[in-house]
Amino acid sequence: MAEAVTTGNGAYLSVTGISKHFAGVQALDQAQFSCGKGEIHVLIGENGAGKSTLVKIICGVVRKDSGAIFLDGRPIELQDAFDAQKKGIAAVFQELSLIQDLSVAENIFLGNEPTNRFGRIHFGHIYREAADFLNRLGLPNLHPRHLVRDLTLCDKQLVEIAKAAYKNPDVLILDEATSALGEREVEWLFGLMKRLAREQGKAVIFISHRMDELHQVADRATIFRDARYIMTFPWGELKDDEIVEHISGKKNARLEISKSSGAENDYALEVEGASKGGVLKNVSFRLRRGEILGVAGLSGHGQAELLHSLFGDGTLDAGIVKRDGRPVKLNNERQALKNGIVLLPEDRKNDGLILSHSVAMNITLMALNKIQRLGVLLRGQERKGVEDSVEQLQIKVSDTRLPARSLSGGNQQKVVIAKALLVGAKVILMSDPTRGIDIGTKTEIYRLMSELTRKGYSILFYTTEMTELLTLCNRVLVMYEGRIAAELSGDDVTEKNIISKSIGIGGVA
Amino acid sequence: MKTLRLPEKYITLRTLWSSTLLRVLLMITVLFIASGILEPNYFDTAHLMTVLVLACFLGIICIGQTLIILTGGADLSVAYTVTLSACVFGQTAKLTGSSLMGLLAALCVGILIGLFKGIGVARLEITPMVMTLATNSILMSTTYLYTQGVLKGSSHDWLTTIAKGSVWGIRYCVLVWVVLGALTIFLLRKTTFGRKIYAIGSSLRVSRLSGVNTRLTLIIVYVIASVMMTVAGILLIGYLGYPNYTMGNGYQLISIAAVVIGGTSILGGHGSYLGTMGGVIIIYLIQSILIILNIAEAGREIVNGVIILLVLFVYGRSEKTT
Amino acid sequence: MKSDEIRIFARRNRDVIIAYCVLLVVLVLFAQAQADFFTRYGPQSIFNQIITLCIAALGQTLIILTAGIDLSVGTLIIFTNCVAATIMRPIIDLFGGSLLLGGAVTCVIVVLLGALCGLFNGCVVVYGRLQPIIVTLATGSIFSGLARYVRPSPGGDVPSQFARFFTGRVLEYIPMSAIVLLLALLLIWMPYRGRRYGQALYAIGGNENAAFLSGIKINAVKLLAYSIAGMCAAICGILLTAQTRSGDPTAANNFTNNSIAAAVLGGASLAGGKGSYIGTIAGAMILSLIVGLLIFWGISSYYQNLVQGIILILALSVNFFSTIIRERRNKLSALKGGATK
Repeated sequence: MAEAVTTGNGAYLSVTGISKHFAGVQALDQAQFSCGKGEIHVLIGENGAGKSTLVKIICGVVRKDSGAIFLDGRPIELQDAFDAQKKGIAAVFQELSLIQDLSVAENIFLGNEPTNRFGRIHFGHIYREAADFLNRLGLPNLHPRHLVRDLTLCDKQLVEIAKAAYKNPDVLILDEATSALGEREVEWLFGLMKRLAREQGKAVIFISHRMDELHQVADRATIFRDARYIMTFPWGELKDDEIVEHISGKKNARLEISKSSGAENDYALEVEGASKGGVLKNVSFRLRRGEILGVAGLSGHGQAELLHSLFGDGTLDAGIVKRDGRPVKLNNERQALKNGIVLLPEDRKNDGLILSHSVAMNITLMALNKIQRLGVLLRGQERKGVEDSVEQLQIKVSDTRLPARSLSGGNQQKVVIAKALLVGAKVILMSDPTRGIDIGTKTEIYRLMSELTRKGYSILFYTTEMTELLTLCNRVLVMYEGRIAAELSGDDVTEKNIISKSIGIGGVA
Repeated sequence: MKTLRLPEKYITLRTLWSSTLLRVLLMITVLFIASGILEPNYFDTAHLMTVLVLACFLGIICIGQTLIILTGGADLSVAYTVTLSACVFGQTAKLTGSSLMGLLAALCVGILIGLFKGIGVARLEITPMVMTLATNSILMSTTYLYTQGVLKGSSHDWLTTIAKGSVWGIRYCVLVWVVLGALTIFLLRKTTFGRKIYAIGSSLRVSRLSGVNTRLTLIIVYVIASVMMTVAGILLIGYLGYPNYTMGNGYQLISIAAVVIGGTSILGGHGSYLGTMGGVIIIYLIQSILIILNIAEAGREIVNGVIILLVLFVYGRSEKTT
Repeated sequence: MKSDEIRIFARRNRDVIIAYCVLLVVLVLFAQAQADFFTRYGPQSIFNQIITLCIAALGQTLIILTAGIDLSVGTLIIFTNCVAATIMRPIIDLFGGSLLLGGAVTCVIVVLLGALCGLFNGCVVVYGRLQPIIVTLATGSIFSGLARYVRPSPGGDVPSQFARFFTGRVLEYIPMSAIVLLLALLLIWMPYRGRRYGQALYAIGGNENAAFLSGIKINAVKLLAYSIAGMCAAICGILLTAQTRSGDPTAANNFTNNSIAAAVLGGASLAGGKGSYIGTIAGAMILSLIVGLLIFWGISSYYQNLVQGIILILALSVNFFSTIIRERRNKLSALKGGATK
């Protein structure tokens, strides 16, 4: 099954026919790819295309439903993540897996501490060795004694990478490991990857959404789309736009949606000089009525904090927020809702929905005040509200008494949107609303957003997907280190501009 | 995109068992028959009424315990919330010569205790079980300080009537339980407040992000819960005749056991008070069987512990496992 | 470089350092109140006061580090206390009246019993995948019932030599309690301090998933922690037997409450992954000595539980107060920043 390998000395790791089903959603369908020693293999595809699931199966974190994994030509069955590590497969995931209250060195050595005859750990040795290792790796700025809790997100990510590298794995997997890194750190990581592959003959598997990064390191690439394997090709054989076509699956995948730019000089939300505990610094912008205003930037640069602060999560240290021209206080979520501001949180499963409660209870949770008299629920109004929402958003559910858990990701997101619409807030803060959602539902959500703006809703739209910003927004705020680095509008809203501003090039506007 | 399909509906033993209420009802029947077989005298309505009378005090306490467990906590201060309020009732009634004053004073104490626990849990964000454990220790001291080691006061006529009198063969105190129970069920199922309780118990975070005033709701829950325990304490004086220092101790653990047996998840967010009522009756049926079998208090304590563990094993970890 | 390391050390152990500062204040007050503080009786009485809570709290700390909590400590202590008081005389008789041999065998049996009870807790938590807080509440009831079975009424036959041995002094100056405390610390340090098991405890409490990914055998680590916590409770039960010379199944004790408070005062977080044994000892000493102070100051013993309950609540609200202070500071600095601009 494994295809011919163009670089390295034969396929070291190969997988065939991998399928995986999560509660009603096909996450992987007959996926395959192979990676040779000395090769940097990149996996590309949209969010939710199945890359992360595949990587998790290879690392033993997720069990596959069917298919086979071959390591060095022999089939292997992985019991768990530790089993995979013993077989020489190590990974750096997006979610950080460090112990906050242990030091950098203790984290790097966790589970493999060198001990003496009596089982005592050589702490002196650990700290020396860790300092030495971090130096050799090219990270002399990390102090082995520092507590992980005290590090910046970027440094934590570096420790994570160092921890994986220290295990000296034959297969190193980096799943969006660059998301929190600065430009210099990314460069360092690419150097490390090349050293591991070219000089030490390791297999490196790399997942990233950024074309420019891929150009720097990729030897071969495999494209996934909608949980399926599409193709594997040596890097350079396809042009960028050809790759994009394969990723999106459609020629000229551009959506027929007009950008909502809203009315001039009619502002639904104005923010002036908002600051908060070092994560937001003097943020000012204006959101027009009927506009979709994009918020861009690499994750961890204050976007989430901005949206949450506007929804009343903790008070701002300084700054004024005006709603329809009137200054408002947003000390908690209730005040935000009262002022007509609602948030669709990025973590749908943990922040947006009560998965074990019924779809109906979820939809009405925010708008309880609208379906009661003297605190007693009015069943008729509740049922009507739920039915209207299901119809308006075309939520696919056979019975609204079913738990929200039983819905697919896209329909769950629709339930979250239904909550927000039922409460009637006209300013909607959206945080990555299409993460992990299939393409069909994504398009529905874009259409819905556009429709809402026509009805006078205003949307502050933070997303990690560039194409969404480019298709939906006429104006984009780019955030960098808690500041608004640039406010792009009209023809300036280009991929190149957004990226360069989000990595701090071109100074602060 | 695959649409969801429900399994065909057909009634099997399994689907029957999966309904908590039916499960509770089945257990009650089995236990009642078992006690009837062991002791034929117990196989009549009079015995059932005795069980119900004993059960009504725990039942009223369990209104509070159910509300708190539904929010994801558990109250470990039942013992001295009950005892202190009973002592306050007795002493105030004796001092002022008015049982009404005693009632008011006890209810005020109940509200204060509830505020204390509620603020600790909601505002200071202390783990509910640890907060109530500490509160219990504080209330214990307060009880002794308040009474200075000498318990005063006794039941009053009207109180004794409520606890011991009956109409059409049904004791008044059982009626009190039924009325309060019906109100609780209404509160949980038909009001926005009930909705908020379930939401908070399932996810405090989602509730907050959905605009629920989680702190206020929690504080009110603790106040209602403590007031219910106060009511139970006062009724207990009517039943026992006098307050005593250990009157609340026995209810600490079995109140949690009854709620869990009644199908409410110890993790919060799922359950009903109707189930708890069944759980309370089950507890007392088991106790009466243990008494028939002549098992001492030691054995009953062990059985209580084992029951909780067994119930947890059977359906305590159905929802969210960490 | 050196000063950097000191700074990091201070940052890592801030809570422990604060706990010892508070302890120092309490000790000074204590020295003022107690007339024979600076004689050889001073340390003896102090150590006899603190020893039981210290050991119970050490066990509790282990469980709290794994992000659990043990509500059965109090009744397990009573259970082991009742067993020790009951089996001691028959065992001494079995060994032909040899106090030393009989006493030693009793201690070993009771400690093993404690370990077994702890292991039972651990098994239910680990293999039942249940919440420790409710599991230990239930097992606590079981232990209490067992104690009543062993000793239906308070009493037992404890030789006075046994009592004097544990509450007395060795070599004229060293209190036996201090030696027992050291032994208990060794019991905990042997498998944990500077060992993989110790690192594993912190890792499990901090991030169980990450610990698993690092190849830590989570079940084994937890089972050991619960067993050793059970042993600690048993040692505490033996000491209680020596101090009271009887077993009392009805005794109300505050060990569950106070052991949690001691661990938290010593810097442990109920969320797990944070805490230290040395800090816990400071916490336990503060709590026990405050009770001693109340007695010295002639305050009614009715206040004991009140004071301890309030200390527990205050210790747990530190988090809340520090958040408020941090927010206020941020706001102030933002104001200043705005003014300079």
